[in-house]
Amino acid sequence: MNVRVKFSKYGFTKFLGHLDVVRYFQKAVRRSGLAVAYSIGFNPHPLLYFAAPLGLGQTSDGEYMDMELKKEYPPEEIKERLNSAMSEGFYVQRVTKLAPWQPNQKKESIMALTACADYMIAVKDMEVSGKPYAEWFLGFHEKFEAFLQKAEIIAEKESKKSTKTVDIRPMVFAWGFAPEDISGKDDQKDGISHAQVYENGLRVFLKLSNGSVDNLKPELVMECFCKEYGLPYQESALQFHRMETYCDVRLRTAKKADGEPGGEDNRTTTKENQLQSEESNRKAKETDVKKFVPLWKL
Amino acid sequence: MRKLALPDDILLQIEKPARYTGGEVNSVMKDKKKVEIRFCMCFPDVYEVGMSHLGIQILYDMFNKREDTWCERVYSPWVDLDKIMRQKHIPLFALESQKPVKDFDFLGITLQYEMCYTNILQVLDLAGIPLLAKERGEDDPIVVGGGPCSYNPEPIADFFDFFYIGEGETVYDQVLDAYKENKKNGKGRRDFLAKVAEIEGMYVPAFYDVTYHGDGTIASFLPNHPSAKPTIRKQVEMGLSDTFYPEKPVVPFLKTVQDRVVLEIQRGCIRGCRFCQAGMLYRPIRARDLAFLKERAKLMIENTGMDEITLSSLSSSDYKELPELVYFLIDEFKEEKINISLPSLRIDAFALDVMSKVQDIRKSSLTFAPEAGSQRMRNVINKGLTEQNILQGATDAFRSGWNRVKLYFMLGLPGETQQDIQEIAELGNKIAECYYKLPKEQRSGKLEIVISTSFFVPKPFTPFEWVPMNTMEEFLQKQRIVSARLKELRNGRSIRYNWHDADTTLMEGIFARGDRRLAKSILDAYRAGCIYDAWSEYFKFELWMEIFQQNGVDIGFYTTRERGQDEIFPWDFIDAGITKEFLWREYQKGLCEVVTPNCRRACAGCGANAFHGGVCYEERENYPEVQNQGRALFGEENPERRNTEHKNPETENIPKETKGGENA
Repeated sequence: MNVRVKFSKYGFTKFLGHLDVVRYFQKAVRRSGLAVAYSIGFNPHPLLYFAAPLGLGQTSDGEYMDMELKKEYPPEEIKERLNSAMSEGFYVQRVTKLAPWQPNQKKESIMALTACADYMIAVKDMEVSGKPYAEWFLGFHEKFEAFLQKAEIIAEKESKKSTKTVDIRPMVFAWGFAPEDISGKDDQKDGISHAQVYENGLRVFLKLSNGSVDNLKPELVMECFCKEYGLPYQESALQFHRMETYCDVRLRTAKKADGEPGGEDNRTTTKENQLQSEESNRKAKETDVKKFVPLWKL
Repeated sequence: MRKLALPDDILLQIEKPARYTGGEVNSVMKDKKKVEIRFCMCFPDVYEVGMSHLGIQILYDMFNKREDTWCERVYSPWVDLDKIMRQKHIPLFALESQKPVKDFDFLGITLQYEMCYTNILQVLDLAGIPLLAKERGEDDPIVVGGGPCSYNPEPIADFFDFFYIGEGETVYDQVLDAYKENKKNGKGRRDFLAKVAEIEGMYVPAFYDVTYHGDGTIASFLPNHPSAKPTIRKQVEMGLSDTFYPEKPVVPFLKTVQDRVVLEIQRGCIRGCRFCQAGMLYRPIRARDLAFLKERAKLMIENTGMDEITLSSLSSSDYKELPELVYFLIDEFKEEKINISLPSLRIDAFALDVMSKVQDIRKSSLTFAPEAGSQRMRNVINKGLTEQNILQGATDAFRSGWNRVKLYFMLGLPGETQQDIQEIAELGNKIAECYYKLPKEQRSGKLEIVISTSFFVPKPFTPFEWVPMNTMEEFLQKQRIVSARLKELRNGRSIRYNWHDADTTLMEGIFARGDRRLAKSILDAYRAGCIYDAWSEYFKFELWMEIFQQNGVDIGFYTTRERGQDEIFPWDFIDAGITKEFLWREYQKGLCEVVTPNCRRACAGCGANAFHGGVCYEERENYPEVQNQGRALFGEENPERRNTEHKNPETENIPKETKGGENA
């Protein structure tokens, strides 16, 4: 059976890099005693698939991992057994059963499904350039509002190979100063349950494009904001917390129609149709955030 | 929720912050207010190296079983954090509680190789503990050392309050009870050390005075305190199947050098190689019961979720029930896809069968440790492996699909001739010939042979403790002989040749047989900025040489000098079981190229039977010497033997050219 596991990473485990988290879960799954499926070959490893990696130093209540099991279990039991194998800093929020993959289908990669993520960014109670960091952010709400009202926000986006200049504004889908400003109540149930609270109370919520195509890191938004207003930008003085990770339902429906993974096998769609649906998806992305569904609901 | 000693901004600007955050699965948390003794266990090297050490895991488990004691861990902060801690005056903290080490009752430091000596001072210094034992006050932790280098603790004696000589499982309870008692009676540090000195195996350096002859050798080594014994007897755990062994080893988040469950199947070695300190120190060989090992293997895998288990011992093939144990593990862990790694395994039908089941032949290599190139030299060092063993083993392995061979040798062995050295290259060449003699369809892929040579460092408590070490020039000359001979041979060009760094060897040579007068130089080197000497990129050889010179240290006195039969050695106050007479006898036999049979074959009268157990009391019948001569190895050499020669390419920042510990 295939399941999707939603988990939190909080507290000191924010200092673990993505690869260490993968290694942690490989061991935790073994400790849980669940009959996990293994890859073939001389160095078999448990079949675990992770969604978008989280930056070092960031916490999350919306991490995802898909897992292949050799046996059927009630999802509740899987959750319990995994949590009994967790140590401080990790907590399994939900386990949902995935539809089995048909023999002639490609696996639907959770990485490719990921379309956007919610973040809470809080200012830590820390000194930066001689005064509490929060004091640098006087009039934060007005300034941030003005910042995002702009038609475009040009930023230097670094990739492994090069630095590109891009407009990041279209990749900010929603923003605000309360969780409900960026997503429906139902979607943020788990959202900030393990987020650290700071005395100064200064925080902002962002819904950002995420995934393998258009990935916008919340750090970049904050850096651009600080630059705009001449504030010192210190990444370690902000706490980035991922609240939820989403899939774009329309993108998924489109893929299904294309006979791509996730839906019924139907390979008759023409290339033209594909292009059209991609175009409509792009438009939809910009205007309508309601089409984003938390990965666990799929 | 865990509170960390270091603030976020520091953790985010250093490499691998998870080295310092603790909280690993199976690490032990207790309430410090509810314990009477806080013990901090330290491996003075970076986390990934220190976390790979079995000894600490055993002691950690043992201490934490005591309700009145909380044992925590600390490792050397890496150079990036070291700098920040000094700048910002952040005191060194233990991983579990994240609280300062200075507030502990004990700081226990394991001494695995000589090149960690300045890191000991780094740990003390960052913790805010005076470096010299005599300068410590009532508020400072008691600093205790243990491990292989404590068999000659003299070069670092000034930095320790006491040393625990031998295996940790035996009398630590007595030490901790004495500490509690002493505290209850309102007595101080010196009173406690007097009590400790009365416990067998405990060495309190301050209670001894050393005088020297005019030529620099020791005239006398005598107790100056009524509690101090003239000789200290090493501690040996004789009941290895009824003692502490962790069921729940700590599981690191980071990838460590030894990222697997370690199952120590036996302690000691029957082989009696004359250069090998471990083989002498851990006598007599004692095996753990099969049932004990099976049970622990299962528990450790269940409790850690690790995907690999390795059998640890100096020579696995000498464990009598090895086939039964290995086939059990293969069977037991088939479902969970647990990797089984078997270092120091002799090549025979059993080994070939097992290896084809547990390893990807294409990826694994065959390791031989002939240690010397010629049969004559192998007789001198009592290494039973014959050329025929090696060539037959290699041929069998090539037929079974292997095509990668690693060969380990030493240069600078006693009485070595140019011919002996050239035969190193020739042995490599002959192995290559074995491969090319096979019909093409029986070979798989391209043959890869790697020859590695290290330089021989004579060690205390070995038959070669009297032997002069080679000079740097001699070492380098010998290395060139190997290179040159390889170039002449037909298959020589396809053989890769690695060698160790002579600078590090010289340092090890000085410290291995050093005395108390070296402490000043270690202190000065540390103050001048030497740390992480075991890491080639931080090792400052010229600086060390300068400091030795300033302190009037005659390097030749410690290294290249031939010692007399009657000389008092700095480590002579330790009774390691084996007698000095036995060692001298073995040295003389070695010079005459006479081989001594292994312990199962015949008793060589080393003195270890004084411990009343192990192989000394087994029946000696029909042990098949011929087939069991020496060792040819599969996979990596036993990590316990080449303990700092980190060869894991997947672990970043592991030194390439370091070594220490025993001379293998």
